Amino acid sequence: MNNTTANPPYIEFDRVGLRYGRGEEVLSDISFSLPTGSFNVITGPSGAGKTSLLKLLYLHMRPSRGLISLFGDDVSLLDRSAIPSLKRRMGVVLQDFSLINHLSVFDNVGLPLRVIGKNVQTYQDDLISLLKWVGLSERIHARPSTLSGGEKQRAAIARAIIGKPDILIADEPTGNIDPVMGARLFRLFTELNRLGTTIIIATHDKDLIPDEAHVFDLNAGTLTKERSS
Amino acid sequence: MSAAQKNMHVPGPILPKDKKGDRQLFIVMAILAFLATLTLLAVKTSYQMSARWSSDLENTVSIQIKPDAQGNSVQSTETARDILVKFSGVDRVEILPEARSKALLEPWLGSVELPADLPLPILLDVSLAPGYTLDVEALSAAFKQAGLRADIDDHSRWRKEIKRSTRTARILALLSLTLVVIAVISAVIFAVRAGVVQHRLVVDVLHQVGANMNYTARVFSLRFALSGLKAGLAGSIGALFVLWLLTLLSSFGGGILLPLLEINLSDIYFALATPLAMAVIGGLSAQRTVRNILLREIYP
Repeated sequence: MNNTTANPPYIEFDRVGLRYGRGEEVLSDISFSLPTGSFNVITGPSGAGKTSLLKLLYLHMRPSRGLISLFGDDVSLLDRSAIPSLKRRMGVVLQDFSLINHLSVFDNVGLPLRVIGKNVQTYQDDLISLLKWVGLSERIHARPSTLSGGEKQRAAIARAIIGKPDILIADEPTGNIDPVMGARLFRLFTELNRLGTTIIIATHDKDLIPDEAHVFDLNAGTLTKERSS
Repeated sequence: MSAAQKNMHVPGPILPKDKKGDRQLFIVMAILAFLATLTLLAVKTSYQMSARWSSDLENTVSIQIKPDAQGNSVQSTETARDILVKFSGVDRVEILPEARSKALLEPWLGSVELPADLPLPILLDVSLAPGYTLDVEALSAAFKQAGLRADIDDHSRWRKEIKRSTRTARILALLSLTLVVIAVISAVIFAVRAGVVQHRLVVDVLHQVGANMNYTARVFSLRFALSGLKAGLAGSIGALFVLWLLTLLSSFGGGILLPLLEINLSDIYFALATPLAMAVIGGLSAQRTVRNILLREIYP
């Protein structure tokens, strides 16, 4: 655990293990805690278990063993009905972007607000401002299939942060874009972090990791190193 | 803000239009709605007819006065009428003329001239006051005491037959309706499962952005409720059209081959109940199916 900050831990993993079906553990004895407002990067080679670790973080899966605490709540004790509200406190950017193809960029990005019953009139201006901020103001009506990789990535990020989440989780956000766009994205993450969002990014692109980040090395399902960049 | 941006007030549907799948489900549900509407209207008509027949039979009694040993039935008939008019609940007594008695025999004997000395029974048509039933045993005793030979038919046997037939028709109709409802539910469940597989990304993304189960289920249930409503309307309008054709046919035949049919306002109300029921069944089935899928696959 990195206790160099005075902020209380937002996320704690205690000897967490994960296996798919009856197979071997893909994650073993993962323990760490992430303080509020921290910038965290999980690195490691392909197949190290980064995506699986993130899936546990954003409650896509439950661990086979160990304890996960989110915002002070033990995840294993959570009722199903409590999961959506926890998920709304997390913005997630997946490797494949997961944009809905028949919806415009506007509708994709507005989805987190729509599902909590907000009227489009109440968030339209904020959404347009956000799209300007991520550089998609000219692509508001576009369908995801017409966007470039970088544009899709930024649309996915906009969707992840439109609800002002406490945590932003991104899985290989630079995997499908060129280095220039990658650097730009990381600047975006740094800016979000500066605004108070806890950032957790899984990447194998170590060159882009900002200086202030806490870096976790994951290898063959085991956390091997934890350091400040 | 530009004019183009101002036009973005209506978000697109979360589920895309699935024209092919929608069309197939629409056809199946419309056929089921057609059958359900016809069944409903048949049940309603059979209830009305049964009630009318029973009512007619309940208020009348037929009495057949047999000729006495000398073959004379006129005096016996007068005596029977005198007894009847004093009887509790009897409103009116009509002695059917001999011509009517002969007419009743025509289907068996043909229109031949009957011998004048052939003793014919005399029929009395007795109307009862509303709410009264005839005490057949007391009337039989009174006739016997007066030396009359008479058959009294209070139509109870026919009323029982009608009730039995109506009950059978009702059971068959309910069975048909139950089968239709089961078929609708099965079709919707099948379509919803296919829809969830087809739109799995939408389900996953909704879950990911924090939609609760009811929201996701509602996205699907509204779609299927709307499909049910549209298909139900098409099916019930089709059923009313067929009924209208049958009405035309029955009017051409003068009610000989087909009973005289008619469409009234209550039939239209009944027919309109079908699309509403289809919408409710479609929506609820979809809601439940999606919730089950989410519980099984999304919420580990």
